[in-house]
Amino acid sequence: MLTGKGGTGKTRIAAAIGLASAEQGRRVLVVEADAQRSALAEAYGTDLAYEPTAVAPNVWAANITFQPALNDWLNHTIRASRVVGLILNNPMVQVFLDATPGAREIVVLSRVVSYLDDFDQVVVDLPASGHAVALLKIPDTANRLMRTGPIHERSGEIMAVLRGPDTALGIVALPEEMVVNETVELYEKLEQILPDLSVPLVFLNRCAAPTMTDDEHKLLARLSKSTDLSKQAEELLIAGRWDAELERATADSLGRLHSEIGVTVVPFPRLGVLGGFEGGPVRVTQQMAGALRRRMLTEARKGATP
Amino acid sequence: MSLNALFATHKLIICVGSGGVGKTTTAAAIGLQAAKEGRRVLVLTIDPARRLANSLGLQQFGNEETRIELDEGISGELWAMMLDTQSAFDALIRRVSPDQATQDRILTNRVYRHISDSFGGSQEYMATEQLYDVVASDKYDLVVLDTPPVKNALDFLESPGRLVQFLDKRILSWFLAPYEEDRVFGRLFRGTSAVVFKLLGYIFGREFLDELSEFLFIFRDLYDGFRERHEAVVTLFGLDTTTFAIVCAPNEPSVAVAGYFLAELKGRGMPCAGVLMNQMHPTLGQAIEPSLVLGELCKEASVDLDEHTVNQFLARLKINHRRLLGLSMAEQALADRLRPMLAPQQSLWQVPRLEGEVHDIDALGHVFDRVRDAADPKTLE
Repeated sequence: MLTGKGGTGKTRIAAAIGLASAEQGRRVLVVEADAQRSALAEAYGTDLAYEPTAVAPNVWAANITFQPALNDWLNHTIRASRVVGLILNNPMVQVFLDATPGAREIVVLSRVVSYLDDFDQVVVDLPASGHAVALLKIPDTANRLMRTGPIHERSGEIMAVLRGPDTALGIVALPEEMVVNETVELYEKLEQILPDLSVPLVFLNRCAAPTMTDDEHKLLARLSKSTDLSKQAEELLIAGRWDAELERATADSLGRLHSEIGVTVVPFPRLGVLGGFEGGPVRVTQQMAGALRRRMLTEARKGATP
Repeated sequence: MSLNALFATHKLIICVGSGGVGKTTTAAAIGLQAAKEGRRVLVLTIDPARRLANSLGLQQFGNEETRIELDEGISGELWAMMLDTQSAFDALIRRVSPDQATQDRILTNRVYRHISDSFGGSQEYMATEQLYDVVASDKYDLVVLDTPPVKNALDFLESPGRLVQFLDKRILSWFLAPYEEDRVFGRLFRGTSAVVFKLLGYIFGREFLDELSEFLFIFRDLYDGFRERHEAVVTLFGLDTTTFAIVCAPNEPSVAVAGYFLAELKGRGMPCAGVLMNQMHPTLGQAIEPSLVLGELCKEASVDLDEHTVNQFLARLKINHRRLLGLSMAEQALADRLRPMLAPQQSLWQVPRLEGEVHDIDALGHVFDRVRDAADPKTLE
């Protein structure tokens, strides 16, 4: 599962993990949970639906929306098709289902979890931080609130999966102070509400490796203090400071994530002049998968556990 | 339209947009700017994270209205408030309860505790509640609302309806009809009511329905209060003094979301002043040769530095500037894509990115320093 502050690129990273993981021989499904606008479709450059669509060799993607998930869920839990038909066709029941807080989320999560039987790996692009926390709390709440019946049972099973050894959550962040603040907060919040959920990784997107020398920094600072610069000179120095800021922010963020939450940080480089947007979304997904592939190769060479 | 004109003619500005575009910072900057113009402003955030506090340079604040210290000489006031769903919900129950006994029974009901605390939608619902309160209090000339990212921003428009729907009299009557006659389910069920109940039992389990019925039974006296509040909030959204402002960043997904919001708000008949495009990188629009422009100056400034520094530095600036220029042109192309989607009165404010991060009042005061409306030919340089 992946979450993180909005705009950090978590959908792209989820899509890239799907590609890189499948190259290691797994059959992978990448899903969004009840997305109004499918961002994953953009990342793979293809339309997505409720049923998995093949997007690359051994990679499928889907947007698990509520209505068909409800259909599947009722067929699975009730089995008597006459009753399922009655439920689906009864407007009063529909209004109630739609309005009962939590019912929607359990039905969607249930479908996501059931795919674990059909694929070697399921990658979930969760909503942004705070809303992912709310979503991950729902199985526990529903389980305690509804003390009998199918939602009670299924939410218990979903919780077991969340807590199990085969599930992990990664947080996607950017090398910016406020994003790192939010990442640390999110990590602590998850520890508090789901202490058994494994959160081993932070993906730090759009990093700039430090390449400026100390003397270059000095020179940049001296020039920036000059007065009477031409507009062109100003603009060049803005470009220089912009890059220096990103290098410094990358180093700071790596350091803080390491010392404040102590997780493994996987850095992704900045792509192209526009953060990769000039090559189109699909190209970004492929480049990110390439970065993951190189990282996995390096780890394998060092003998680290993949 | 100038931003100052926007702030002066509205009492409620609702900021919407996808995540990570600087929506919270924008809401805070709007608040500060309007306070500088002498208005009493409240910035209200629904965001579960502490971003507004961060950008106001505060550690944190709760669901109490907190006054932000501003420089002397600023005649307006800036207040901020963050939503705490649970206590806001409790406050609402206290307000609409007819008596102490009803209030106590609801506040201790298990279903209520779970619904108000944990379930999706309640945050958005409470936001509109709180919004109504502060706007109706008339304590502020302007209220700026910062909404959660896209997936939930429309829930926020719908959720009052959703909760009222949940508590709809029809639903209540389905549940309460048998309840009021005889508290044992099943025996007195007749016709469709019995069918609905039985079907719901397949999904939720009987025990939950039982407890829920009890909750709704206590709640029925509050229903009218809820509905009135909902109607008042809907009225509030439709006023001339209310407007939505779409915030976006200059990248593909965020601009797509901004387009989606323009269409959605139009479709819902909601007023929208336009789009604020944040974090722009304006340039002169031409390649610049660093050795020609800065070569001499670099030599003078680097006598005590390593001999390779100047060449390395100039080569680096060339790459950096090419990146900046490419970014700037692509950003303008994105702005051009949004422009035809705007209605005649709507603006496209381009807000240049500040150097460094905005997380104190001083920096916040500079956010709109060089803003221009790219949809208004008068403001073009």
